[in-house]
Amino acid sequence: MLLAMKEIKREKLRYSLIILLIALISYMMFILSALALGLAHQNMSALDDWNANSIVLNEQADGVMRASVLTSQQVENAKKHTDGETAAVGFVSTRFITSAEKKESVNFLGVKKDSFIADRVKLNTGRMPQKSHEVVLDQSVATKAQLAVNDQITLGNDTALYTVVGIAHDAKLQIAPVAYGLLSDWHRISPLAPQIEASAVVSTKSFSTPESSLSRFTISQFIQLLPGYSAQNKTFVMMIAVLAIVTLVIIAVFLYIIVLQKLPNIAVLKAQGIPTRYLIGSTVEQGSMVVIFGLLIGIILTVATALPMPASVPMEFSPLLLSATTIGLVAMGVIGSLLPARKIATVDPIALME
Amino acid sequence: MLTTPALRMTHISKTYGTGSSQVQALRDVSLSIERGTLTLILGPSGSGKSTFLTIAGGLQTPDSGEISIDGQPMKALSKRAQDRLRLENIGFILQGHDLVPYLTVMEQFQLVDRVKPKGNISKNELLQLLKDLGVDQLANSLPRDMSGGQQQRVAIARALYTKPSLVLADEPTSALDSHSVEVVGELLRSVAHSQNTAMIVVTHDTRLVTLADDVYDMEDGVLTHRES
Repeated sequence: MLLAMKEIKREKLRYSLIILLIALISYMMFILSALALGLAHQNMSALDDWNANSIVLNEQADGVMRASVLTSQQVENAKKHTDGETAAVGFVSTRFITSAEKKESVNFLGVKKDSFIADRVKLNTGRMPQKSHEVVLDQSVATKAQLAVNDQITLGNDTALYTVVGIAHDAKLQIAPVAYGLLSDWHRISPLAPQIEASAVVSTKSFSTPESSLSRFTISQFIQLLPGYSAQNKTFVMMIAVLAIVTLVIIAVFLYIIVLQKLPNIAVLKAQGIPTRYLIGSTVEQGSMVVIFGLLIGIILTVATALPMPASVPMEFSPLLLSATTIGLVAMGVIGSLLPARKIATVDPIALME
Repeated sequence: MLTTPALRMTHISKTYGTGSSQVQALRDVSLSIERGTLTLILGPSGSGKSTFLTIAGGLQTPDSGEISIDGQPMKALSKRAQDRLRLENIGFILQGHDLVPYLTVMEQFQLVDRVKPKGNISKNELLQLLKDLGVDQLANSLPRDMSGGQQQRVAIARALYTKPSLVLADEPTSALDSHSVEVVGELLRSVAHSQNTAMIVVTHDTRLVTLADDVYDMEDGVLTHRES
């Protein structure tokens, strides 16, 4: 620790620059991971509320609920193939208009008032729809449109007024806020053939093989198939991984150059009998310290960014993810120290002394 | 009573290169250095002094011959054991880079304490040693704030800090003026005698001859004892 700490302390400019670089990289990693988590959450927070196990869609829909339509016969068939509680769900992307002429996009989910989904939606205020032309809105869109319980809106192509009867705590699906209503209203907003009953059937337990015109998915599989979800997550993971690799390269190159500059001193220390493992240990400590100092600054920057951030920015911080990122970066620091460590191990004091 | 010599070299030879570029750096060198003596190895550049120093210090192996430090044959020791032997039994005073540039004088000794916590000279002895060397005022200074001569004196203190039985010095007075040469030469001799250390100085500085207990001349890899 002595060598590592004293060098950082006495070579302030050199180490400040590398620490600043690591701080900026860790800051970007924290922000990106928060955005990734936030966007992922906005893709599926409504599904989290349901705590369902599986979903059945039309086989033609390729796992996409908005492309799925189920006839009454198919709904009944699906329900027969599970032991869990079931709920038929109608899904349509639409928009509402407030009395103040504000227009907002929502994903309308129609469910029956006595379905398990209706029981499980978390509400900030109000109640779930009990009769036709009642809706529950996600809190973010309600706030944005300045709507409260008892306010009225028009939804999609239905010219009749809908009354807001509740505000859901956090209900989003495929990034858009959710509006819950009755399944019968789904038919009004999204006119389809009379025999169409729903978009999907959701169950609290798994489905056995239903008829061939239906496809069953676990909720996890269904989330992965949400349009753009996988691509978005992979993009974020790739960016974060690239940043981790950049950190690794920066630490390795920086420490390698420092070690090259110190070779004469290292050679003398080795000649004097200072164990190679002590010298390598100091370099690894240095790599770790640079990353830890950089991380601390990165965390401060992240907090300073997150606090004033408006709620509309989909950032979410998970202690587990932040810890994993932190541990990953420290590991990059240690691994990055191994290249210079190899140089230390191979320095021949004779080269200096002859 | 027979005592074990601090350094014994028997028929040491070392050749570098092959064919027309072959250089025989050491030719059948044998000597035995007792503790409590200051020995000078005098010779011009390229005479084989540095090769002698590195072989004596266990930093490279000879082509032939035997070498032992405090009775321990170097050949029989693993690399780690050789490192340990150098740390505990041998002090090096080199021509440069002896000091870690970002450690103060006192921290140079703390570094040694980290890897060899026991058997070093006490703090009082260290302060006295620094005083004897005229660098006690520099205890909290960094090498970059010291002159070459001051750095060399601190390097001498660093070499003596572990109470080695053998000190190998490569031109320790090269950066010193005549007065300092005398002071440092006296100190090396005094330490050799008082601490029962075998002090071997490899140099071309003949100003140290009068202070040495033994003088050897080296010419083209051949070591000859100079009769007093």
